[in-house]
Amino acid sequence: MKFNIAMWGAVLWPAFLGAALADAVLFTLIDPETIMLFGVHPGVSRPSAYTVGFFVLWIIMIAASVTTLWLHGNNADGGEATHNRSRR
Amino acid sequence: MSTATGETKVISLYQSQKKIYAKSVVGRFANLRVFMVFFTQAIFYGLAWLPWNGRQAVLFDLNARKFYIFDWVFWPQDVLYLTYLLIVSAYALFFVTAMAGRVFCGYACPQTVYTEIFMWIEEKFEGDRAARIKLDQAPMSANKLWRKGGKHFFWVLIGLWTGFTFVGYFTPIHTLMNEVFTLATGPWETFWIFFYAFATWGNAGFMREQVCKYMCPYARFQSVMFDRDTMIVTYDQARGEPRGGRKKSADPVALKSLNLGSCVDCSLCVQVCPTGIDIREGLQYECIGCSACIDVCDTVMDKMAYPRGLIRYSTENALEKSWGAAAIREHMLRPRILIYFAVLVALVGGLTASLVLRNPLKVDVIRDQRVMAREVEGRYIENIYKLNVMNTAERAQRFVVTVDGLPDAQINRGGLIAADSASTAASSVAVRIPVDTVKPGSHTIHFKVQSEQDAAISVTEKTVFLVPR
Repeated sequence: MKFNIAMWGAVLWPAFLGAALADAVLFTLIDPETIMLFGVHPGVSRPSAYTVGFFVLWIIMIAASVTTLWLHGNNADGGEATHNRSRR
Repeated sequence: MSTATGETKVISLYQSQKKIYAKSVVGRFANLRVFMVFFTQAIFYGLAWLPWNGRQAVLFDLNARKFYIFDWVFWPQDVLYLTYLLIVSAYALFFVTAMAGRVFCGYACPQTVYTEIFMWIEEKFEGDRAARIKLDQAPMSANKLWRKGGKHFFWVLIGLWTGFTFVGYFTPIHTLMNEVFTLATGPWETFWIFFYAFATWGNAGFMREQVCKYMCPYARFQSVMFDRDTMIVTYDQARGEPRGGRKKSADPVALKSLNLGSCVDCSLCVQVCPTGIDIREGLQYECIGCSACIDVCDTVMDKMAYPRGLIRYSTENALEKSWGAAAIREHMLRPRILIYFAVLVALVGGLTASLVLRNPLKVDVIRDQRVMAREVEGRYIENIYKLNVMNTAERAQRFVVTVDGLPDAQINRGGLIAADSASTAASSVAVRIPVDTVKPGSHTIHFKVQSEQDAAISVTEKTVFLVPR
């Protein structure tokens, strides 16, 4: 299956929104300064935790979306996916 | 992928994309959009600089984990308000979309607004549609370099300013400006300024309608919110067809005899469309409701001395049944709209009430686990509690702690807690009762924490008092 720019857009953008939401919820509930990693405080500032957290979440969501597209897109090739230009 | 004939062909699940050169347009709706560009951007770029209570009016201070919005200071504990706000926004979108279609897309969406700004710059440097197409096909020259370079210079400048403003909502913008001028921005500030600038430059400069067509979820689920009485940009097929060219002198009254409708097939409506569709094919999901085709068609109708509105805002029902404006308005108030509206009013009312009645004091009582109940001075049973006080008001306050629930309970120490403006304070509170006044076991007591300055600000928290055997 070919990945073109539009499909990357379709993966990156929803994953971006999802990661932003997940980042906000996660760090609202958990103050990064209280996080212990392997028994020690990693000593990172809040802004860096928010930023790194965001990108980690984004990558995870991109991976999930790409996998979905890859699994479903192959089966749906020439099927549903090409009918997105449906007219009302 | 190159084929045998040497043509470039992109194999895609979507249609292959060609660059869209949207012709600029003037008219009522274009003016409205320009107004909206100024209005929304005055808010976005301006609000970050607005002072309030000696600080930035709107500041999402991630470092201190506090959100300042005018008179309110929100803490992570207030996350419910954020959820509430998202629900209100979603309902507002349902309501507006069901009634008036994609007005958000056409006038207020940042994608539209920044694309509008970037296209304006593009036109200043590269000229109108025909000139831009020619320039893109021309080989590189000093002229092309200057035009493209100048365009990108201003695109990048606006992108950076946008990124700077964006970060200015998370770091106090005056501090950030000083940091920028002394090249002392922190690593994450620098990163986000450039990341946001890059996204603005890419989205408004290059992606443009692709974002609406392929990336925007709203474009895909809007059909759920549409019905046959939703206002949309429509082409009046009955009036326009059969389309075709004609002399300008052709008598508008005698069109029937020429076997022609009002559409002169000038294709301007296609040329101005930012998503490159032909509105005459009916409602399409790519249509962002920007009304550029309405504006341009009206100018053509004026030139031909035909009545305006061959392309106009209307509803599917109105087109089919030839309703006038009054009938359209009547059908606007259908049950769906009224229900959306009622829910929206209830939600906004609830949110407002809850914000107005918000208690600027929160108290958390934790029994001290290390010091369980103990006997002191041979005469008292003492329990220790840790009281965390959150003063969300923007002034320093002193809180008096009182206890009740047991007849002779009194606070031995820690009964006065001072908290700075918008900050927390903790106190170890020791509660004593005389020995043998109550039987062993656990007893419910209440702490009342009350502001010294304003008696109306108080919180009562329940906890237990342990009496050992």
